[in-house]
Amino acid sequence: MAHTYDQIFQTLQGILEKVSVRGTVITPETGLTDQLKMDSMKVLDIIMEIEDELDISVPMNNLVDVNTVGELAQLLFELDTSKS
Amino acid sequence: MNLLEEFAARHAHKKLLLPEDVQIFGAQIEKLYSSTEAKIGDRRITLFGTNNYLGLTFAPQCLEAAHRAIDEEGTGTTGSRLANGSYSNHYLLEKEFADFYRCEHCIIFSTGYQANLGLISGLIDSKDVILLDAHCHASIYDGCSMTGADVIRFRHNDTVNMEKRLQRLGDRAQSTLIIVEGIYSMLGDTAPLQEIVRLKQKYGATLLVDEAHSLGVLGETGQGLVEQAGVLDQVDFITGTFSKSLGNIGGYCVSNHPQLDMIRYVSRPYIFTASSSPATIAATRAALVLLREGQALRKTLWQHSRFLYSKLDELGYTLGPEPGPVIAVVLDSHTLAIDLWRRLLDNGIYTNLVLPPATPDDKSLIRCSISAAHTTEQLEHIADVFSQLRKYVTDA
Repeated sequence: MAHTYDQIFQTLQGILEKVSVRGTVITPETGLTDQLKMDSMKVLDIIMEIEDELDISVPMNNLVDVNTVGELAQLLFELDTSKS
Repeated sequence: MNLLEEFAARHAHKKLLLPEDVQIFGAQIEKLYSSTEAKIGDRRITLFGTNNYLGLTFAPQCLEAAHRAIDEEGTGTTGSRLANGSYSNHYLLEKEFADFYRCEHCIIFSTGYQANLGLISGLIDSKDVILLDAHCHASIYDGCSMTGADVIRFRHNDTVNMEKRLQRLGDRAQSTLIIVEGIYSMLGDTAPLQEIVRLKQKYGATLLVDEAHSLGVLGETGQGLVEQAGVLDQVDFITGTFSKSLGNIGGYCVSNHPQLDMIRYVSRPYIFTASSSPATIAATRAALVLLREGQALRKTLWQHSRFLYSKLDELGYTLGPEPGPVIAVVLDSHTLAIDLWRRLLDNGIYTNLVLPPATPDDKSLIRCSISAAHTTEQLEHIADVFSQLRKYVTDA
C-alpha cells in the first residue's frame, strides 16, 4: 500500500536526523546540500536507505531538480504512489 | 553570487581542507628511477600509488616497440579515427584484445575513462535502465549521466539488494544494463560475479564488467574476474584500461555482440577525440603479450599483496574487505588521513590519499597499490613505517 506524503516526510526526517548534527531541525524547506552539508554521494546513499524502507527505486536522473527535503519527499511520494 | 564568486568559495573551502605546504593531489615527480621509485621534491621516494600492478612501464620490449613506432609513424595521429582513419596497429591491437578474450569484437578508446563513457553512452538511450553498483568508478557514473536513462544504484556487492531492484523493474529488467567492476578501485574488493551473472540471466538483463583494476591481476591468463569466476562467455561487455597493468594509456571494450561495432558511429567519446598515438599502441601491444604470459608476474604480485595486507591487518589497521593489489587503509577523519599521508611521504613512501565524496561511506582512505616490481626491501619498509605510525593513528 502506498504511503502518504506525511508518512514519507517523517521517514525521511528520521533518517536525516540520524546523519545530521545533533539538534538540527529538519523541515520541508531544509536544503540537502547547503544546510545539511551533504555531498552528492551522501544524498545518494541516504536515498538507497529510503528505497529499502519504501520498496521503491529512485532513478538518479530524477534527482536533478531536488534541492530540499520537501522536494525529495514529494519525489518519493510520487514514485511510491505510481508503483501501486 | 556570480559564477566566479562561487568558484572562489570552492577554492576557499579547498584551502580550509588541504594544507598548502605540500602538494597532496598531483605531486610533482621530478624524475623516475624505475617503475617503483621516483624523485619527489629532493628525495628518493618508493611509489605505492601507481596502479602499475605488473610493473611494465619500463619493460624493454615495450620501450623498444614505442621507440620504433615513433621512428616509423611519428608522434601522434593528429585526429580521430573516424575522420583521419586508423593506423594498422590500432586494428591489430583490437584484434589481439578480441583474441585474448576469445570474443568476436573489440574497440579501443583513447583512455579507459572514454571506454566507459563511449560504450555506455553509445549503447543506452533514454528509454533504458542502468543498474549499477554504488561503488562504481566515476567514468561509469559519467557515462550513465550522458544517456538520459533511468540510473538506479544498488548497495555495493549486495546481490539481494540488486535483485530487489530487478524485481521492481518488471518487464523493464530486459532493457536494463547491469554494471559492476572486477576489482573495485577504492577498497580493492571483487564483485560476486557468478551470482550477478545468474541474476542477469534470470531477469534477461545485459551485463557490463569493468576490469580496469583486474586485467592482468586475476585469472590464469590475466583476463580479470571474468576468467577467475569462469563466466567470460556469459558476460555481454567487458571494458578495461591500458593505464594500469599494461603501463600505458587507453581503454578497450570487447564483446561477442555484433552491435559493438556500431559504437564507432554513434559514440561521441569515440568519435570526437584524437586516437591513441603510435607509441602508445605499439607499447600496449607489447605489454599485452607480456600480460598474457605473465603468470610469474601475477604470482609475485599476489605474494606481495598478501604480505602487506596481512602485515597491516596484524597491526590493527582497518582495511578493505579482502587482500589484493589495492590495499585501502580506512580512516574516519580526513584530517588524520591527510596527516598520515604526509607522514608516509616524510618516510619516503608515496601512496594515494582519497577523501570524500570520492570514497565510499564518507570515509577517508590511504590507498596503497602493489606492484610485482616492488622489492622485498620496499615492502618491508612500508610495513615498518605503518608499524611505526600505528600508535599515532590510535592516539589521534
